[in-house]
Amino acid sequence: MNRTLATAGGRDPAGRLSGLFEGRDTDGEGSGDDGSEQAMQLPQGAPPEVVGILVGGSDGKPLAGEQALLCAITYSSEGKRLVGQSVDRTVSTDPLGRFQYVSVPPGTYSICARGVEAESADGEGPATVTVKNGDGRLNFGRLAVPGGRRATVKGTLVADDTKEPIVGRQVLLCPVTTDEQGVRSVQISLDFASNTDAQGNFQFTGVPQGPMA
Amino acid sequence: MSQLTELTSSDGKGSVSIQINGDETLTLGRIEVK
Repeated sequence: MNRTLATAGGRDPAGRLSGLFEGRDTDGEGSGDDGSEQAMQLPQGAPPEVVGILVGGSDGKPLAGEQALLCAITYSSEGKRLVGQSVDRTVSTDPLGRFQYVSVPPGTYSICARGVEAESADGEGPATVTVKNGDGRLNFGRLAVPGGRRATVKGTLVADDTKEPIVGRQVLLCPVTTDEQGVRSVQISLDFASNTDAQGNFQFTGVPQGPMA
Repeated sequence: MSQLTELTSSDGKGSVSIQINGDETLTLGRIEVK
């Protein structure tokens, strides 16, 4: 889907955004945003802004503290859709899953989180917006992050002889793949790295589904 | 130079993979390291 949304609204005297996530609340959860196209205005000539809410793909709950990357959508000469990070900054969602990009250059964008494009809540695939000069504020509404089910893995390292905690040792949690011949491979990755604490404890959060070692 | 060693099962069965299913907390307990 591709939304180009009308805009209205404004900033309060302190310069904060007002009406940013205001709108009809049809889900009964009081989120203040149902993803509907809503009219908000920024001051004349204000640079375009992009806002939205990230929710888990499995449960629809807001994803707090999640990095929401603004990704540029382009097409190769063969018509292949290309997704790339377009802005040299990232934003994290607030406790309600909301994110906001200001001063967005013209272009077509999707939002990427956890390494994938966030999808429109109506299940129509990756959601995009096209930003043009003078657009004001564009609202993605609620975006579902596929594979939203994440786990926490924790444990304690101790020495096998003394049974004392091993302190300050780096522990990696790495994805495991098995090829068609059944050969198992551990993909060394620093995506999940933890140093044991004074009690030898380590913990990884936000671990995706699949085999790990 | 640090060395990476895959943690293996103490019963001699070798490498161990953990299946992550999501939305859960897996506690591996005490892991003894030589």
